[in-house]
Amino acid sequence: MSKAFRPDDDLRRQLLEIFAGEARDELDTLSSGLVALEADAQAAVGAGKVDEMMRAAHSLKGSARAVELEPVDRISHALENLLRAEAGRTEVSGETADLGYRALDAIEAIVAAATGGPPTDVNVTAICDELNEAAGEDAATAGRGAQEPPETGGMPTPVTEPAEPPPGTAAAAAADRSAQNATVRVSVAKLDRLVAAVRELETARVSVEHATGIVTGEAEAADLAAHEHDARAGAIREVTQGPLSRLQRAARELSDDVNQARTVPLSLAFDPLPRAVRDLARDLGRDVELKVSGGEIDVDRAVLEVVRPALVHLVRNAIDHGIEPPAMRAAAGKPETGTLSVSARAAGSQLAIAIADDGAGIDGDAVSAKAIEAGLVEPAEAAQMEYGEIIRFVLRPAFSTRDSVSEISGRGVGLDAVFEGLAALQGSVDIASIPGSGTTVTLHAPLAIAATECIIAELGGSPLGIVLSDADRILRLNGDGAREVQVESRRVPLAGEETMAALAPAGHGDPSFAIVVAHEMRRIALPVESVRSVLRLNTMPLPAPLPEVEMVRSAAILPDGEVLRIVDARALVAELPPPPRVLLVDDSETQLERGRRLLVAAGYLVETAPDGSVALARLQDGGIDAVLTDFEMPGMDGFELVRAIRADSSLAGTPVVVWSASGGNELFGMAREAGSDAFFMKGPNANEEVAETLLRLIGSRPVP
Amino acid sequence: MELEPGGRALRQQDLIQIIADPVVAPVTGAGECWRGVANLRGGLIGVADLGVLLDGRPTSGGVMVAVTSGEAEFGLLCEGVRGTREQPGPDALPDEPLEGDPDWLLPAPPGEPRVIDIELLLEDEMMRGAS
Repeated sequence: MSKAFRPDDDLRRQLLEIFAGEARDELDTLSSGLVALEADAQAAVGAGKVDEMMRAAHSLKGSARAVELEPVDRISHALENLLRAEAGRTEVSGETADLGYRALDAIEAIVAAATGGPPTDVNVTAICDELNEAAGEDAATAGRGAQEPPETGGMPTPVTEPAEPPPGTAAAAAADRSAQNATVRVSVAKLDRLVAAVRELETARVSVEHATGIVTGEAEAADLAAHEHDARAGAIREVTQGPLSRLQRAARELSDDVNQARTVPLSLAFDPLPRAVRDLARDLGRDVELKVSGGEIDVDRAVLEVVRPALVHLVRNAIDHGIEPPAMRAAAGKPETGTLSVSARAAGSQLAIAIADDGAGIDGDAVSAKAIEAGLVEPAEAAQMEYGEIIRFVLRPAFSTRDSVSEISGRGVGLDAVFEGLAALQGSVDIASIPGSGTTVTLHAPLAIAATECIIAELGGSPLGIVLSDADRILRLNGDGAREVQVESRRVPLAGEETMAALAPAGHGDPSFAIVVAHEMRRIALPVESVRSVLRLNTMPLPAPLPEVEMVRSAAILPDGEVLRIVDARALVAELPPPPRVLLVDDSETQLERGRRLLVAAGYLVETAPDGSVALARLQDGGIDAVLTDFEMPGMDGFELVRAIRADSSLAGTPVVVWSASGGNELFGMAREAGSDAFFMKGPNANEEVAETLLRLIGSRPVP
Repeated sequence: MELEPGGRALRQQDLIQIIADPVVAPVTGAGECWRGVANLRGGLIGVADLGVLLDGRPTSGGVMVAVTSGEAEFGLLCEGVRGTREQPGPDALPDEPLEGDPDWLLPAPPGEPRVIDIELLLEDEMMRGAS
């Protein structure tokens, strides 16, 4: 009697882990496809979304069979039937989309349970019946194929491949792309082991380079006759340089390839967001538009693993706690549709992802009361705290201002785990909120966690590293004791005594150089005694149980065995005043968003106003460093706003830049006559100049 | 393993390596007892000052004992290492810890060195960042 192939427990566990990773990708494809179908079925079908989804469902079904996960096999099969039916329809109802999402949730829960997660009581038969009914099939017969596989004489059940898609179709193009980009799934643990091996190889390479340098140098320094010296040094070089060059090249290429293998586009972290926003907005009766940007940035897999759940959690929080119901927004003079933007940017070696909503902002009094009640702060201390300090309590574990447990965001459960994961990567979280205007949570994490090029300097007799991409330039100091250096037209301050004491606790000698470190738009110069070299090194986070230190978050081992502390650029510039705050005024939401992105990318803090009168009211509240305004707006237009600012003695000194889609000498003259400091035509060519001009106009400060 | 100047000891199984005159890269802000980071076999470990942990006085001597508990590894700076000795069995230990001493310093019969419990030491507030 033939015996069916049965993987042993260990093999099945390994197969299930691989399947879980594959299932997540397929579920993402299906989820984003459902969002697209629901929004515009015709466009989604035209773009090949249904073909992509059918392929994903089919792959899921085949893989589920391979790991003997029959419930996933059955649901995937029924989902594929539904998608085949939907391919011919011009509209997909919300009910059908809901059914699809329920099926995806069920598969996710089953896969999680099969891979060590919580048990699930998903009613597979009921979901399959619903899917088949929606597909217009007889549930009793349609589900049977998957439910009761045909007798195969004890052989493994074959997985039927779908028919080849007709040439020229979107599915055929997708299949071609798939063949060209054939990939093999490798677990992060295996990659980590590979990275560790490469790290050892790189360390050995650097040590060999160092040793070769010493040997060659000794030969050259030896007191030998000229011809003898040349011959001996030449022989050493001949013996060492060839193999060393090959080792250098191989180590570099291997290191690059392995690091590249760890790299994934950040867009993978954005995939679950449309579904999360859609579901939650419906459940809570909110109208929310999600905008994402920066998905093209490449990040380390370890960063993605932390950021992905963090974003889902923060987006859910923003809808649950931030964005108001449409009627409430309308009453507050806001558009009924709330905007939730998730924008990522890379600055030097760091990744920053801002999750910004235009909701109600954080109620400082409620947070303060809850913090006191939870024993996090004494009432007297809370009374002395600034709003910006108080709202940081919402980032504390298990903190919530809700009186009852919210089904949506819970009591902060999970967020603390997210932040722990971020902290383990030497990342951090910032929060800013304006009552009535919205909240922005910013996640900071390193882009890469492997080989990094560092400037090796010396301070207080110890080596100190600056990541090369964080350094703007190195300047020689002339010893005049000045507290700032000149960088082109800007004055850049030297790091203060507190920073210097933190980096060189036993004191330091007279600095000869200053390394200008830039983070976003702020720059600071770090005085150092000497600059040794630039090396490509494998950096490591400071090890537990050493508590987290802001100024030095990572380190590396130098070729001679010394420990190189690597200065955190973000912590270094933290002693500087915060970036300037610009009020952006425009009646077009699109233009507001474009302008906001431009200014945020340049490092400004940005607030927005839809017209001149709202802007003027906001200016009177204080805290705005400059205004960038459109000219043509309903109500109070840009020129009226400029005149009103100039007429108000408390605001008259505020720099104002006008930009407009229209140009010409007449408008330019009107802007100048109204009292604006500069006038630009909107467009990509003006972007950099607008940001620079604002900075110059604000520039009473010595930074950045 | 008894430590200089005597009276304190580590269990052999907690010990990874003894390094004379270690080079410690200073890291401030982690807490008063933490001196910085050092190279241990090509990896990094945090280094704490045993003198500060015991009585608030920084160690002047130059030996680092690298120790481990679970997945945690770190270095303890101390004056030196005196040598190894047998620890009396549990029956010889007094019932109660000495008053005023930290929990991580285990009780010992008179004249015997008191063993540092590394697992308990990791729970000490100073090790967790308090100054």
